[in-house]
Amino acid sequence: MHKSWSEFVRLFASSEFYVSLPFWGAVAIVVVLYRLTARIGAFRDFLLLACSICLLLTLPRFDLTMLGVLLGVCGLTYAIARLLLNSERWTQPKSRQFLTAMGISLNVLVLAFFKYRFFQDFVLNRSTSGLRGSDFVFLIGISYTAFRAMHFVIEAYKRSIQNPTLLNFLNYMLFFPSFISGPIHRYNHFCANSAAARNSSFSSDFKAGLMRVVRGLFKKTVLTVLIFPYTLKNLRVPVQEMSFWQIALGLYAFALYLYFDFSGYTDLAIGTGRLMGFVLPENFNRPFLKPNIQQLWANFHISLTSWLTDYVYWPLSKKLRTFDYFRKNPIFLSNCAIIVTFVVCGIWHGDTAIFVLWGLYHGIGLSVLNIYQKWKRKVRNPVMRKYFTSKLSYAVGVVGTFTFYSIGLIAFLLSTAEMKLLVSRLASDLVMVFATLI
Amino acid sequence: MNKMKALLSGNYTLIAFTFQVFWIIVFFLNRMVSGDAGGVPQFVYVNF
Repeated sequence: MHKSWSEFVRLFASSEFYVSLPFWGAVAIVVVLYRLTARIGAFRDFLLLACSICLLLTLPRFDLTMLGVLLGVCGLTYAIARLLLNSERWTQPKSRQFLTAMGISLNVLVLAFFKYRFFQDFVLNRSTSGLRGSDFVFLIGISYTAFRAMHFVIEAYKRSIQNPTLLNFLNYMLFFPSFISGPIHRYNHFCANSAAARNSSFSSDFKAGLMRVVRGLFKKTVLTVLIFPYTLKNLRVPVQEMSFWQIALGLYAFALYLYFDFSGYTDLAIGTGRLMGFVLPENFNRPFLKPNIQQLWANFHISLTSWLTDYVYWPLSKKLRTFDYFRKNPIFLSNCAIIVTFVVCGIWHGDTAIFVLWGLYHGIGLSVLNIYQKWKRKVRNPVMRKYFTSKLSYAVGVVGTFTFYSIGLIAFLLSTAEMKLLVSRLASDLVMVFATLI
Repeated sequence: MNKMKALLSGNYTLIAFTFQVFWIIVFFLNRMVSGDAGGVPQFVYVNF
């Protein structure tokens, strides 16, 4: 009885995003106010900013100091973008590139400081000041806001942003449904949505938004709860003592748990945005039903992969094309760009060497696929060609891709010591299998 | 049989919605009574 009462109190007293009743009560008030002021342009934008800030301040570890830091970074980013867009002093390509590099560096440094423990320790000189690791200052949502800010600076450099206002920019950066965990939407898309929200139909938005919110809650409160006990960390067996099937089950379960948790969150963000008239971009499109790793990544965390494609892969490919060797070997060029892009993706995910390895793992996987697909196009054998277009080939591809992705998740689950144990365990298993076969 | 199929496909959205709401309520009540599901970490992607 005591337990249920405390849980009841927790649900009513906490303001946890998307899973607590006070949060949804606040969202209902925001939606009503925002809809009522839909035609009063500037006031509506002020109201949205005020509501976003109020809701963000209820987040754990997000206080007025953190808000101040974030507003400061937003202000500097906006100032740099305005200079790139308007100032007559910054017309020379070199000076424009310098200013853009400043804007990007500012956000990379802020991201590194609030995300990577080693960098924060280095900047604050923690090893000599004697502060403990638990003093790590974490800025929630920084991974996503930093990428949005960099996008804004780069698009300002390209002059593809039209007359931005500080109010619109702050609303874009602090929009509460997508603040914590994306999607990483684009500024022009957000502004177009903001304008369209004025005349959008409440009944159709409400229906679509509600459906999406319920789907998100179902994934987060039902499916993740069902799957979570089977994930690798929760099997309550030491890694070195696990059977092959336990490891496989644990990894598959973790992949599904991660997907349902994250896509559930995205559904909630998209649904909440829709209730207010905003159409946020999709972040997932059945990624685990895709027949190869390239298609999986094109449909998993879409807003991140498209950001990396636009701002890492294509500029790098363009740069590499200036070298003769790369121009003559387009597959090699593409593979190098893919590997670098995925290493960046790995570094974005975490600050340990394991995440770099995780990025390399996926980059090399995609490169091998690239070479395989080139070979596949040259195959003339009719039996092989029939197999490539068969349902069996598709099914094998889906299972193989899901397995490849799940194995990569070891980086998110195990410590370096546990990984060593697991690898030695699997190696001894393989030796046993070979010994039996011989 | 065909009528049943048509009925199901015609009301798929409503059926899925009701199914989801039903299980959300069941899990919510279960969480309140037992408090067991509170151990599932939320937003695994937040810290990335």
